[in-house]
Amino acid sequence: MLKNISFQRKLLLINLTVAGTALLLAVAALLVDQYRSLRKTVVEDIHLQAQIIGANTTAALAFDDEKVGNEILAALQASINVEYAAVFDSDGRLFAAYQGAGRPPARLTLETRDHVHVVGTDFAEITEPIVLGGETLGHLVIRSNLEQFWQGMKRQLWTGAAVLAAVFTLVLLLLPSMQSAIATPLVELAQLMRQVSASRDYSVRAVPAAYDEIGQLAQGFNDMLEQIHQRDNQLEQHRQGLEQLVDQRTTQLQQMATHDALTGLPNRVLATDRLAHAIAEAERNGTLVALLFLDLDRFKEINDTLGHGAGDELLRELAVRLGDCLRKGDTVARFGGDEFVLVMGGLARVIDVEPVVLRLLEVIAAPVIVGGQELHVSASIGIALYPQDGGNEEILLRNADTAMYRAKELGRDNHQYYTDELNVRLVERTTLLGELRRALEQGQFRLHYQPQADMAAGRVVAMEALLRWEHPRLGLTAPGYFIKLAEESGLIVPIGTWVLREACRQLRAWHDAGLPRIRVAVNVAARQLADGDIEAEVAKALSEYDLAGEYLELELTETDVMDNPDQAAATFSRLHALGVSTAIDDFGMGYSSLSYLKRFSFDRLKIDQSFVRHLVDNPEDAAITRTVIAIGHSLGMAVIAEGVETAAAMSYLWRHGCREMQGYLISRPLPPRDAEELLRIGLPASKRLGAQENESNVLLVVDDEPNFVKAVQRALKHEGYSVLGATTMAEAFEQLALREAHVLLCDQRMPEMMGTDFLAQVRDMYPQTVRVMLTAYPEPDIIADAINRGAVYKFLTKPLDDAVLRREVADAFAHYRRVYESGR
Amino acid sequence: MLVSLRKYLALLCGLLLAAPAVVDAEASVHGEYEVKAAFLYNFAKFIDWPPLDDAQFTVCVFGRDPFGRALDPIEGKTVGGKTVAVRRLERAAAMDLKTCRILFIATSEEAQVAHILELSRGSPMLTVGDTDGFARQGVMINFYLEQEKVRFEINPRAAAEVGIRPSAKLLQLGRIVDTAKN
Repeated sequence: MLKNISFQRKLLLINLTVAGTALLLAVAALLVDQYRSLRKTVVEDIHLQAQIIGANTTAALAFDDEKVGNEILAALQASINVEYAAVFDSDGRLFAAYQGAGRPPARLTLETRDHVHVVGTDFAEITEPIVLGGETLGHLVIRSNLEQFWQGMKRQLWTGAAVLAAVFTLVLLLLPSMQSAIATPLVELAQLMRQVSASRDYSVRAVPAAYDEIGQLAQGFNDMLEQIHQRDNQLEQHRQGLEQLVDQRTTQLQQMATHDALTGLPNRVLATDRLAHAIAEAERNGTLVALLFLDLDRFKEINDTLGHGAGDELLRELAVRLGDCLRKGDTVARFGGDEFVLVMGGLARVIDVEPVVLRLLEVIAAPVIVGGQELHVSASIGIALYPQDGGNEEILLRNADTAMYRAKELGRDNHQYYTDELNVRLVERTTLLGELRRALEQGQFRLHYQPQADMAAGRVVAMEALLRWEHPRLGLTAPGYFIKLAEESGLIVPIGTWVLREACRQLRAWHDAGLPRIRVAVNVAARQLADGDIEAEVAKALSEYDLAGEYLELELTETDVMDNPDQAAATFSRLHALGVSTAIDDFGMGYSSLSYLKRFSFDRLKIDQSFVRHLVDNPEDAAITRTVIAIGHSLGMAVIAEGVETAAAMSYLWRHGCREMQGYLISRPLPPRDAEELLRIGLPASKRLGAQENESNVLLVVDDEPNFVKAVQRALKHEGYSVLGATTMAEAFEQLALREAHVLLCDQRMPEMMGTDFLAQVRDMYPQTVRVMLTAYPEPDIIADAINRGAVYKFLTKPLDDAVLRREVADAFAHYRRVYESGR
Repeated sequence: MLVSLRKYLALLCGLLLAAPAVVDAEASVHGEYEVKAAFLYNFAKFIDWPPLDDAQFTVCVFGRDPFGRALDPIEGKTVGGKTVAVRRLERAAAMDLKTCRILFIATSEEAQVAHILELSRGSPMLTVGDTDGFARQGVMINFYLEQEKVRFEINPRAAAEVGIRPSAKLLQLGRIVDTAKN
């Protein structure tokens, strides 16, 4: 309660309480003292009176004069307080007595012979011996009331109360003004303190009012303020120091957070920020922003072969070069790994990007000396432009990345601009990837089997397992739709494993069913070699399905093998140890060196179907095919042609020594049940190619006029020739592939091409032929050219009569025998 | 206070009932001369004596002794530090009288009072009698009976003549007899 009132009031209250208590005690003490002294006085008075009376009564007592004794006592009438008095003789007998008017009667006996005071509240009684010359003659007893005493006391009390009241009033009047001498400086000090704590201005000072304790307090307060002021300044300095330190550290951290440690270039965070700024500026100025996403080609190989130190050095060098290509204000940033991003703002036209990009590719292509080695690197660049390719940095970055990816797809070392189509592809890719994952989890993959036939034996010797996807929406899907994505995403590894196991499982089932013991051929992707443990998977599958290694063939594309030839070679040798055979797929599409081919020791070489398909009518494809067959045989490999769809192709391949074939002509890929059926019943006899007897004297007549062909056949009917006819070029090529022709008669004017050109192709594909040209309008230039090219043996002019025809044909066959059969 | 007063009263009543027999018994013992003997001794105390070089304070009885053994109690008491001695005188010889400080003149010596007073003049001595008319003749204190109580007359002038002064208290009690006035 006392706590919350003001200091001044508190002081007043305390002072008043103290003063009041002191006064009260003083007055009380005074009154007590007065009471005592007054009482003592009263008793002494009575005593004195008693002594006087006693002395006066000695004679009366000594001489037993009661009358005089009573007279003496009667003198007490003057003392109105005396109630009674009595004198007793030495024998204790009442000698004389006095009784005041209206007072109680005097006592009649003596109670004690001593000198005794008995003091009550309203009376005092004294027993006084009466002595004469050392002899006690008797006793006097006087009793007096204390009325006078109490009156005196009452007076004293009133006086005390009055003094108390007066002094208290005086104190009350004087205190405030006196207190203010103490309180005012204190209150002022308190105010100052509040002001200081509110304003935090420690420079103000209190003015000491006096040199007393309050003055000292003010001085102390000032000293304290001084110290606080100093401390405050020190703290401020310290704080500033800390802030500076924090700023420095923050800058360092920002540098670390926004820059790439290796190259010192801005990192993804800062680049994204710069891009956002560039976009904002472009929006204001109506200009363009080009975002270039640059990824080095085959950087991983450099890292792997030369070490990370070399890779880092290369990145640093390229960072410098990239920086040199840019205009002021542009940003080059490293996004991590071998990815760089360039932000170019303020472009007026799209074509302004082009020179920069070309220069970038150029400086990257310039040789880099790293660790004493000269490196040649290239990069793929994807370009996205603001505003057309995206409204914000996120979309732009994604799109530039997509475009870069496209550049990679298109064979690296080039640049691609982003198109919406790319984005659609990206979305499809993402969707497809999700579906693929599910497909694997939910068992949507299937295997179909395409027979590989030994055409000499006319039977199926192997089945190539081909992946199909039972897509819930699209139905059965061929791998062309998804296999590339599976390879890129790495899903090919688990998928490949599944294929391997499923193929082995199926083969085991077929073996168990008592079907012919054939091989199964399984495709293996490069990623399976690189990421997976293909030997372990193969060994596991073989042992699980209890298959000898000879029943499994692994097919690898030439391109995949060449991605990492050393690893492939090592893997293959281990696979061979398991008894597994290997085949090189799509041979002819890659760039394998023949020495590698030998090193790998493939068991089988597979001619790519793209060659086989145009084998009959494309001299180059035919030449490649012939060469591949020759290489395979010379390196001791079996050769198989895939994509064999026509009898002509089959015949051609057969004639050039290819004994194994795969393709629609034999069988399309079959679901397991149908494949099983095929194995059970075997190939139809028509698919069997026996050793062809070499017909001699085969003549092919090519003319778009069927009547002419018939006329020739009629004319030569009994001459011992087999006369074949073709009215189109295609028909002619097919005939040529199917059967060996020795002499060709060809009309110059065919609808598809000139006869001379056709014959020139035939010369390339079938050099051991005698080619005769028929023409209605001999043109010397053409004739000369054809002869010079060696395409034509002879020109005949239409119309021909039968005799001339017979003679010329016989001459041609004679020429054939003379030239080509002499060496056989 | 009332209680203590009441206690007082109760005590008082108790004492009142118990005491009177003793008091009365003692009172009956005191005969006339026993009182007079005590008075003789008491007078000595109410007198302003001049400086005395006596060895004893001598009380003399002249004439036929009426006290008998009543004077025995005062013998051996002291007055002004001196022991009281009682002498009985047969004849009036100046030598003998000079040693007396209190001289009781018995009724038997009524005839020769003037002579005795003459003899005693010049020495500080209180003369006491118990015979009617003695005071007027110059005896300083003379006993008489009043309502059977022993009272006395005082002749201050006679005392002054020998240089002793009875105290005022004594004068207050005695019946003053002034010889000069007669």
